[in-house]
Amino acid sequence: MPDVEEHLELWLEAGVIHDSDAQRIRAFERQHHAGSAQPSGERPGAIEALLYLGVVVVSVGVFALIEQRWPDLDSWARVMAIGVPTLLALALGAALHANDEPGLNRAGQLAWFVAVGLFAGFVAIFLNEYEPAGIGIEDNADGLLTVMSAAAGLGLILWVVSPAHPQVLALGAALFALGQAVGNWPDEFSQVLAGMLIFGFGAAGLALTEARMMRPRFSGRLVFAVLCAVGPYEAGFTDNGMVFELLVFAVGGALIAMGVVRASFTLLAVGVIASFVGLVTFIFEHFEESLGAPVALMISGGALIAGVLLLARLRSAEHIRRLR
Amino acid sequence: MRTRLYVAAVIAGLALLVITVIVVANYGRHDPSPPSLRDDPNLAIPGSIIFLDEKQCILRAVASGAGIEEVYCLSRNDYPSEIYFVDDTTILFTRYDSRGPVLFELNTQTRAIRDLGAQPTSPKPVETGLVSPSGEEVFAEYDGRIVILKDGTRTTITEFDTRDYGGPSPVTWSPDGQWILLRYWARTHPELWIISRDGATQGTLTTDASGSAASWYIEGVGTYPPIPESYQR
Repeated sequence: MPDVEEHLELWLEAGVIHDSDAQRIRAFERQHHAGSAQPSGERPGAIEALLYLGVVVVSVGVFALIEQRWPDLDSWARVMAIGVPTLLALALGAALHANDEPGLNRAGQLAWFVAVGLFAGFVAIFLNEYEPAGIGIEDNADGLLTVMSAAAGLGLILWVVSPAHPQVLALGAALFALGQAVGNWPDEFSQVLAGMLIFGFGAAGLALTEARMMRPRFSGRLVFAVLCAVGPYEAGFTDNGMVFELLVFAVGGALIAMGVVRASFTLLAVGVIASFVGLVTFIFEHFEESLGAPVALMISGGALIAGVLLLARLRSAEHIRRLR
Repeated sequence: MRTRLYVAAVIAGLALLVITVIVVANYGRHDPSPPSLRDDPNLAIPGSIIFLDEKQCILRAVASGAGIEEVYCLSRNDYPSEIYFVDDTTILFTRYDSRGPVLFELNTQTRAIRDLGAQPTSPKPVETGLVSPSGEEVFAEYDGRIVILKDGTRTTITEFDTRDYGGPSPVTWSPDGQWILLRYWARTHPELWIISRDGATQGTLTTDASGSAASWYIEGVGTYPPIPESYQR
């Protein structure tokens, strides 16, 4: 409200609005805030902060134990050393999700975010110690694929239970890691395989987000648009990667177009950044020798300035709508 | 909830489909290992070979693949770097301690070990085995080709379907100069392969090797690679 009042005074002084308009705006703002505000939960409180501190302290303890005592631990103790914190993170997340307090609910989402990473570590150590069905970490292709599949599976389950921003981020990170694990399956790491699977995850996730099936929409758009761009970018780092380098531009252009059509700054920003990074990489990859590094840098700088100006001009949905 | 389950099914289905296809098709994987000599011994390959396994045990295999026995197990912290046949019943190995590289003599019948003391210089490296008794040098190309160099002439004797820079590497010649022992780093363990000098005969001796230390003994012919010059009985 203080910001609104400040603006109203300025507009009244300048004669942009009349006093009756100002009264109506004040009434609207009061009603709007009364209906939507959650004063006790919107900002992190002391209990929420203490919960985060507790998670950090437990994490430091686990890593200190691993660092100092790992060689002395038996297999079961190693598995327990990471299995117990994983279970605790899952249980804490479940307990806090059941709470009505928004701050505690957020802490629960973060606990589950951490749980996905811990679970990956748990599966990795379990495979390393017991090699079930002959799958161990020593043969890192099979082991890594199992670890990342398990982490992505858990990330997906936790998102189904709680479709919140941290769960979308955890799912996106796990799918990216799964892409790397699949790329690691052949004898020689395949950037094309990894990149195209990541692109596939990104395209599927973005389509589901735009179909209003993947929620929340903001993190869904951000995470899956990034995967859409990162996939072809990674695939471009091969001997004959020109087609994938061009695909980065196509994805960047498609995201920009989609951002304009859907009035989404997130899609627009990812599209512009992807196009910029793709362009700079392309210039240095193919034209550095003929243009020279200074000219390549100048073109890259120009592209950066153009990208920033475009984003600054289209920084809100309203600005983007005006394009149409 | 139904919509979220649908989303989960789409993403999980995509992942499952891709993983199943690459695993079933064994996409991008090579299996260049020759047939197992243990399953089908080749009696034309003469002598015995000693090597280390994953448990730091010295194993002695009949080169034809007809048999294998554990000779002696070292402590897990010993990390022997080189082993040599001296004769049918005597083996040398080096391991590092506070004195530096120390040579030990092992009698394979009595299991007695004699500390021969620190070596003034490191014993001859295993690479000396890459030049045959008759002066031919064997080496591996990055693309899996095994090449023999003699009098300035390079001859490719065989080629394995491996990934680039991931092919087998020569360990030693046989004492008669007719066979070559190769080490191949498979996905989990190093393997030892034997190929004939012309590359026509090939076999996998073991899939449980460790390191690249190995030595070959043929009765009446001798041992290879040469034992360290500092060794005296």
